[in-house]
Amino acid sequence: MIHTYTRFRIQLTLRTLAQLSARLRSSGEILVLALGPAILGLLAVAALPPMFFTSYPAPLALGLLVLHAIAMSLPVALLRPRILPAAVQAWLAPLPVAPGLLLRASMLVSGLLLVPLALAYASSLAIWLLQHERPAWLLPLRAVAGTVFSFLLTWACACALLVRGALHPPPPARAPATAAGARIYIARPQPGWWFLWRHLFWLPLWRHGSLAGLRQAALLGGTILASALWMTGPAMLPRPAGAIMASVLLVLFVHEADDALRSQLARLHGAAAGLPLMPGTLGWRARATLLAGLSLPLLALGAAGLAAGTWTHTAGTAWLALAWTAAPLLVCTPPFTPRGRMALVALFMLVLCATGSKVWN
Amino acid sequence: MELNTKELNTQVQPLVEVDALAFHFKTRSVFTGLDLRLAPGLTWLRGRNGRGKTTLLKLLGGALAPGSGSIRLNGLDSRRDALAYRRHTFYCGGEAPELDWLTAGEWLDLHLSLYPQADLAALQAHLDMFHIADVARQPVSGLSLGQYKKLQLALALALPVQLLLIDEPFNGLDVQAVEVLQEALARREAARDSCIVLTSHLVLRVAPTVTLDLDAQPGVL
Repeated sequence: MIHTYTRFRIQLTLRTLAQLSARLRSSGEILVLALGPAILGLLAVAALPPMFFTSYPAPLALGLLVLHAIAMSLPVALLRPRILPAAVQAWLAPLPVAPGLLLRASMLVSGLLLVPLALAYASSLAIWLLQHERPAWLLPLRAVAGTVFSFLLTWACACALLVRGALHPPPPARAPATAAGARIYIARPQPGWWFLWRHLFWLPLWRHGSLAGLRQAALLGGTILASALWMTGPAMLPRPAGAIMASVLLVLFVHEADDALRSQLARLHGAAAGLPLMPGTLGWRARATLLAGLSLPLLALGAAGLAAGTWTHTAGTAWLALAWTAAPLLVCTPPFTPRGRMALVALFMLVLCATGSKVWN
Repeated sequence: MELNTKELNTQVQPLVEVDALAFHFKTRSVFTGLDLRLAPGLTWLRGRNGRGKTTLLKLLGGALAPGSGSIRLNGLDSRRDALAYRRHTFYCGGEAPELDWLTAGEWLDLHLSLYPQADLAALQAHLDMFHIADVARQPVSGLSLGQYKKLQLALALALPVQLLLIDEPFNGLDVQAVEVLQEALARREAARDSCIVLTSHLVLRVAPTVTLDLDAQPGVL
């Protein structure tokens, strides 16, 4: 007989996993089409690190296995806010749940989350151990023991993370105490679009636990770095590789920025209802502002390419034209379905990669 | 943002006209053919839980769109003249903070930028009287229920709107804040220069101009 608390925790987890799999289902074919070989390759080498670590002397192998197990529990740490949302955590934490019950529930939940990892390890072990000519470093018994040990340790880490999360809900957001006089409100309203845009679209990227701003900043930085490498063409990085990196990161950056904007507009539809704002006009102005922002890295890339002579050939001109088309098309196209959206993103990536890799031929 | 520049004639007495209003949630109907007339002063909206008091306030504030029928404020239609209509209304309610990524100061500034004619001195005075002038840097999501309610009320009482909709204002307020609010409502009721529609399960100490009982109102399901 499963305790009600355990059943509730499992239902929460299953709901989260169902949401994630629904998101993957909507773009599954496209991911398989574009990244199929890479996914198969990853599956085959899933258990390679623990298997390989067991070929080292025992103390070193143990240390590496522990580090690997901790690293593999990172996805559970990232999923924890979804499995145990802050609002649920806040009322769940004070409930009189016995430590043993909490531990059992957390073990079951973390076990559920680690089923895909267990399957990947099993497949990978089978692939490596059942082949005719095994590498010399691969000792079957040690490899299996090392992989199982790593998995069990990952499970324990995941379980500890969930127990800690259930026991210690995040504190409510309160400003740190400062001198009383320093915080007295002085009205500073400003007319105009920028003030509105900052309050409704910029600040939410960075506040209230949102990682959207960080993701966009990382993708923008990555795009600029990859573009610089593509233009300068250092010896260690072939030009086509630079082009592919710059193309993929640019499309991902545009997609991420547009996705965040769409989410925020949907959020404002309810939050700002009743305020003297027209949702349609607000949406178009926000999109125009986003496109203006997205044009800055493209302008920088255009200038860098001009200096490097990248745009003098047909392929270069085509890449630049496609890159400038990608942003308005992705931002202004209605999201018919998540699958259609993913197809558009994948199409732009493939076309830009193909064109970009020809630029220096 | 200027979609509709039709402006309200502020010289005439504000009057809300609700005609044949219908509104349905996905799971149930709330209003079918509701007719109302609201005159200047304080209207006390009463009714059992679930009768649609909050829904009616949100419809009057333009936060919800009528399924059919019309709501007009001095001739401005809540759907056809949506922007102009909303500039003259404010819905003060909801216990979970909206725009929860903002600090209290930013929340106020945003609203003040949308209602440029707001009385800044009145706002400051109400913030002081409610003892929340020092919460400006706190996130609105970190305010207590009473603090958030006071923040909304301080803003609402400083806005130059013709139709002010206040949903359960006394929930979570301390005794001193209730006094401040009652006095402010009494002043507004006496001035009769705007419509205030207020829901409360508690008996008001301010005599309302009109009491509207949704339990006895035709068109309310």
